[in-house]
Amino acid sequence: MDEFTELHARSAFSFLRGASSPEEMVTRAAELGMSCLALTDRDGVYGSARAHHKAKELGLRAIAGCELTMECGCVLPVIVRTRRGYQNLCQMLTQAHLKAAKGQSRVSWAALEIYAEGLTVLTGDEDGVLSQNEPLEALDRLKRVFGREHVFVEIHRHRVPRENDRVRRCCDLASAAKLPLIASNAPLYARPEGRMLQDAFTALRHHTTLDEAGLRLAPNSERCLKSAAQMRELFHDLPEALASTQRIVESIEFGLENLGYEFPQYPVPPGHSQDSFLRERTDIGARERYREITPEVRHQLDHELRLIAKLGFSGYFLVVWDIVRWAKQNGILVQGRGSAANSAVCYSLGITNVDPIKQQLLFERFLSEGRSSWPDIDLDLPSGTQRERVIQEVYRRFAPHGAAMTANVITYRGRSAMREMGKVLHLPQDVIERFSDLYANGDFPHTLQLDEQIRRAGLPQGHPRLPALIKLYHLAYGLPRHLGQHSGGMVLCSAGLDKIVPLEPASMPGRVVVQWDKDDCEDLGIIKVDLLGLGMMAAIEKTLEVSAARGRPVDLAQLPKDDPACFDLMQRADTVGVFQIESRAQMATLPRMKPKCFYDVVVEVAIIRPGPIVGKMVHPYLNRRNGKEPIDCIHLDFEPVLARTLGVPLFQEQVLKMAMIIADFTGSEAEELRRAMSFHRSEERMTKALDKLTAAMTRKRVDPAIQDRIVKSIRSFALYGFPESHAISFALLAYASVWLKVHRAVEFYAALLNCQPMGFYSSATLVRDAKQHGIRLLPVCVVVSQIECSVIDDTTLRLGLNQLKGVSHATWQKIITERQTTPWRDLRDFLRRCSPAKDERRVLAQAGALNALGHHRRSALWEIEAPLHDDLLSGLEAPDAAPLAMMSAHERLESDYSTTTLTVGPHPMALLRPQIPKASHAKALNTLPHGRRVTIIGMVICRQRPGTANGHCFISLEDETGIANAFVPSDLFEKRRLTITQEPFLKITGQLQRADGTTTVLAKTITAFRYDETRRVSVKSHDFG
Amino acid sequence: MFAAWWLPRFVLQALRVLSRERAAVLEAQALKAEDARLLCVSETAEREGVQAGMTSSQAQARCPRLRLLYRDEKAEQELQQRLLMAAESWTPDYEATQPGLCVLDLSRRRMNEPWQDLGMLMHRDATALATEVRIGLADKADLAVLAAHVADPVRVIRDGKEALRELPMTVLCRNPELLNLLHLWGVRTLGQFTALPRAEIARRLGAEGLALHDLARGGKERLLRLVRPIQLFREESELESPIECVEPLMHLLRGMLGRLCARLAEAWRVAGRLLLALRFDDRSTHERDLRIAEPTRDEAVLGRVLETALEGVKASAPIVFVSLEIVPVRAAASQAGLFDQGLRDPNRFAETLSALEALLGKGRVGRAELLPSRRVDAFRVVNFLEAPAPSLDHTPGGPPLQRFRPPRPARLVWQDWRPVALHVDRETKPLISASGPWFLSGEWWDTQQAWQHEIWDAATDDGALYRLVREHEAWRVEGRYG
Repeated sequence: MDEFTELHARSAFSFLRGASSPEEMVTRAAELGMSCLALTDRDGVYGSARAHHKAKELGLRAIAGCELTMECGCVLPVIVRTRRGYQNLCQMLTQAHLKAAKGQSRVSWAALEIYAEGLTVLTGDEDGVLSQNEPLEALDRLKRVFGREHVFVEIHRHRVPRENDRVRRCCDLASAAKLPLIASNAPLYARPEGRMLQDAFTALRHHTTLDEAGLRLAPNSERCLKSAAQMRELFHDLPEALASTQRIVESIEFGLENLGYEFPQYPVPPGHSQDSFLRERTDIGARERYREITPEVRHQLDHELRLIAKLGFSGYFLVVWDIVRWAKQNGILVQGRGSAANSAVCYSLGITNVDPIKQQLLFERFLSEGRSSWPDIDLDLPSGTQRERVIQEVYRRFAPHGAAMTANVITYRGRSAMREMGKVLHLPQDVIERFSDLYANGDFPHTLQLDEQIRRAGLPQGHPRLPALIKLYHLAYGLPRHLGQHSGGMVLCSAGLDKIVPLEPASMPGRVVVQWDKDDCEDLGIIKVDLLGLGMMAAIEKTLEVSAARGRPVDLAQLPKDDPACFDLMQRADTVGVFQIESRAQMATLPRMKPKCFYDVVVEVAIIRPGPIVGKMVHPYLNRRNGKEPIDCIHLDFEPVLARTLGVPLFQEQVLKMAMIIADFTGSEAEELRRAMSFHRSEERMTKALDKLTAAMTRKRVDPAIQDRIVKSIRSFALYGFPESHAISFALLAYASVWLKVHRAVEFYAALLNCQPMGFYSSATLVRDAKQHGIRLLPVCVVVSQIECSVIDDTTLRLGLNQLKGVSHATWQKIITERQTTPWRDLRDFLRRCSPAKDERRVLAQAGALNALGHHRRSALWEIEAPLHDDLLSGLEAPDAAPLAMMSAHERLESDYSTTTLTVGPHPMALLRPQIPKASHAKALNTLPHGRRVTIIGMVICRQRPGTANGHCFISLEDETGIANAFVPSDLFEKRRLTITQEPFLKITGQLQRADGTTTVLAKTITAFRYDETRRVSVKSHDFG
Repeated sequence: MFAAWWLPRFVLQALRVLSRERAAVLEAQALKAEDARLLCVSETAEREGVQAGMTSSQAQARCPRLRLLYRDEKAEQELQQRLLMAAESWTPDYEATQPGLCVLDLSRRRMNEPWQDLGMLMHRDATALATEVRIGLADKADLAVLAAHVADPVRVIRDGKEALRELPMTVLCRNPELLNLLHLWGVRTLGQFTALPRAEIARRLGAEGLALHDLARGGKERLLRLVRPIQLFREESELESPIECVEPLMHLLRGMLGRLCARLAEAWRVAGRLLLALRFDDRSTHERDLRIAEPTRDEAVLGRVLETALEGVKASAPIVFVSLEIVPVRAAASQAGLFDQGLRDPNRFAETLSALEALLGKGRVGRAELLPSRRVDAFRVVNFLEAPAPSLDHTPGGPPLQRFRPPRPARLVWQDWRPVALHVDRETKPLISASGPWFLSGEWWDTQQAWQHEIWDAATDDGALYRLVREHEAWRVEGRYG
């Protein structure tokens, strides 16, 4: 048993009151030879799961606890002794958080009396109960609430002059109250250098700078974790205070491994168990899905149901089935994604749309015998209100406190770390901004060294605060900054989630979040159902609605998978607006890939991802596909597995099957190998798994050379990993969106515009693409526009009022309602009856939405500024003609972009074309010879600098004819970094490169293309890595 | 007739930036990210596409060699002051219209030369102030301002206002919302604006629009908001016979005081400070800024203050010039309460302080005020007469420490990580007990200010308890307790 255990440690999950991660605290505790550590973060157990996980890894015991902010303002550290105590703590925190504003939770003394059982309390540090008036009374109260044996008077020594006075006072109080002393260092960080960050956090917490923070900063660096020897030296005169820590440790029975979590059971009808009801529902569903239950299907279903029942997951499947059923009943598109699509049960229940038997998918990727953790079923839903309806339904079903969103821990990254550390160091705001701007948009792998970036931002090398800035930046990087909510992960619990983890209100009304993120929940065996919003699902849903209303209904399930027009569109890379295969990289691959069947779409979806690119899988696959190299399946036995991907293992299922074939692995052993291969797992674990594989192959007398190739192939696979079932699910959506673009173009474009923001391209690019496909787009008009973009006929769509930026939803609604009552007489009538706000009037006029009322944009802008007089003569006097000239084409363009971020008129580059006769059209590049020196000019719609590209950058420029792609070598990117990232229009001169149907300009020079008229014209470029 | 003197890019000119430089100015202390936008851009930078309102990154994308400067309000005030002083040399009737722009009323001046020549003369005068000055002359003040905006470098507008038609509206209007509306209307120039019907402007833009309309047409006759020199309570005397001792100097000063106090009385003011300047035959000077503890215009009191201040003054040459200025303040409006505790005679107290300061040196007399720092001895000396800052609650308890100033360098002998002997003042004292170490550190974020102390309290065998402090690897005895 240790001589001393730290029982009052805080991590960065105390948000600005701690400066080390829980993992770092535990690691340091292990280094210092401790066997236990209690993490008591402020008002929550945010870091407890991570501390628990790390402690388990290092052979330590993490003790749960937290600091409670009381209603009187004092702070009480409590330590959990029993499971009941943990449940009490969670409930107490949930109550306190849910009835207060975010971050303002206060525990009442009355609540403490109810929930004190199973908790031990310390008197705390400078914020503690002894700093209040009448400390003896406070101690008496604690004794009454917790019981004398569970109250300890906490003492600290931080090597600050005169601190012994406080220690003596505490000793006197303890003696008077007959309470034991307990020694603690109340650490705020793991190592002494953490003090710097803690000081910076203190300044941030007080909204001041380090210079101004004065006495609020720490006097020294002693609030770190200390070893038993260091604490013994500090408390040599009070050994009983050290011994008390062991008394507490001995009294602790609880650990997070005993959470007592139970997934909710489905309320089955009488006479049914969870297993029997799942079997019944599956059989009913299978008959609908398969029509005929073949022996193969029956065998697969029986196998899956047996395993699900054995692992006790039947209730889980039923709950998810019920959510899916509810969504479908309410007209909400829903589709399971991820490895759930490997399950015939999921397919039969209607959770997924991929037939795993037909597609030969491996069930073991989803669920296997040796697996103890919950299977992962993610549901894709249309983003926006439809998804929110499903989320609210889940809350309703499991109310109260049975369901909550998982948290999303927002951490300090480059920009935020620099911004906040720069602020506390009182650096000039423009330096901080320039630093951020040098990130080159998006958080793609960053090639600029930190000190160089700081220098370029304008802070000289010799600046006296530079060393502190660099240190603080590194210390803060990766630490939690605040808690958000996960985009769709919900956790469910049968016996009250608030006894498992504290719940908090989210910023979004009606949402509640748990204090752990999805990985923490998974590590502790808490099941999560992901209800993910997909913009494309919403777009497809809207397309189907409009198509049906126009008498051209579409049944997604019945779409022909061999439509030549669809494949033709894909082969031409004409995929702007469709799902997944619309990105620059996908479009560059499509002409080489030339998809000819649905499975090609599956491969296309899977292959253009960082993993296969880094694993150098793309070129072998494309070369083999184009007959440039022979197909090689490594081993004869692998042919059935790898033949469909031409010998290149692209999917996780393939690796699993390879291991099962060549090494006789069971499904669970193969799954374990796959998990070890996942890139974020340890090298040690991977080596161990590969050793096991090699040993098994050797036993089977596989040729060592073949063994070597298999291991190499699996090792390179470790860099990516994508389930085939997931790729098929996504390919279904991708194909459906292509089909709609081809056969329901006008409805599809209208839906895309209505669902923005989504996808890869802005509304402006979608409009340009629609026009190229022969669609006529009509501008927003208060006389005819609906709220959403609407279809006029097969080739015409009208922009909706929702495209106007700066006009409220209420005004849209009022326009529609008033118009339905009586059509507008004139502009004055419109203004009088709708009463739009001044800014809204200007937006409507500027966008040309009032033109149908007898005005041009300028005259409308003139007219709307005149006051309206509701007298008897109003309406009789005709307004004088406006003295303003009509807008020029450039002015209309500028107005369109500022009011709707798009134009239905000419593209900005079309207006500029006469000024730039030597620049090539994007479309014309395909006709020019390879190697020709060309100049392209256009609006930047995409800047990409993927981590796989060694710092090179891809830029897409749009002009009136299409999109031109440029490849910018890393050295040129570094030279012109700010031009590339800051300018909305670029002029790129370089060498044309054409190969396998793709065209790129290898950039040699890049300059800003500027002219006055484009000053306010730009689109939000899609920038990421 | 009016003349307008305009310094284009005033913010940049105040920073003495040459027009050919690629430079831009940012707000010195932007509070929010959106504040960090360019305020003013040099002509060369503008030619490369940099515009006011851009972020510094956008500007550097256009112009990589752009020099970014911070606004210097003090320099702007100085330049403005110089501009006004130069204007004053032409006429006493002038208006400080806005920073970098003043209008001179020349109607009281007899004009013999043509206006253009006069403008050239003015320009020659004004170019000593800044690199770029433009002069506009017209018979109305606002028209002169507009003329200055089209001047190169001098422009006279008598009747034809055609030249003004192309001037941008930004010259006249500073209201961003109105400018935005005019932009939406396509109205960019004065000509376009004046073409709009006046009545319709009134309906839409109200009084502000009408005023703007008038201005765009050259403005109406209006009175300038004249800059009137602040009345100075100052007396100067160049001495024919240099003074060599205090007595005749005091005689002279008392005379000055008498006249100044009489003027103070006329203005219902009292003396808040006395500014005394002496110049000696060897061109050296002596200046004093004497604060009057209890503002008064009592000549005797003020005389005593001067006399005390001059007591310690030594000079190597006789005095050839004397200047005395009184900074006037309003007399206290209320009388101290019956039970208010205060100094019986604050001016006498101030005299004493002044005498002490003369003896000890400037900044060495006053009250020590603790600074909010973890450094134990962080303090500053503040004038006794300043209101004390709220006390800081970090005064350590325990026995009082009698500090050694300066601290005494020391060497310690160590055994088992504890000091056992103290070597100080060439004497070695055995230590019978020592408590510590205590650690204090701060300002770690600035390499020029960072500090770190290790502190021990050690008792010697003679019963004395010392505070020992280590800083920069050197030990010192900081004081003795008790």
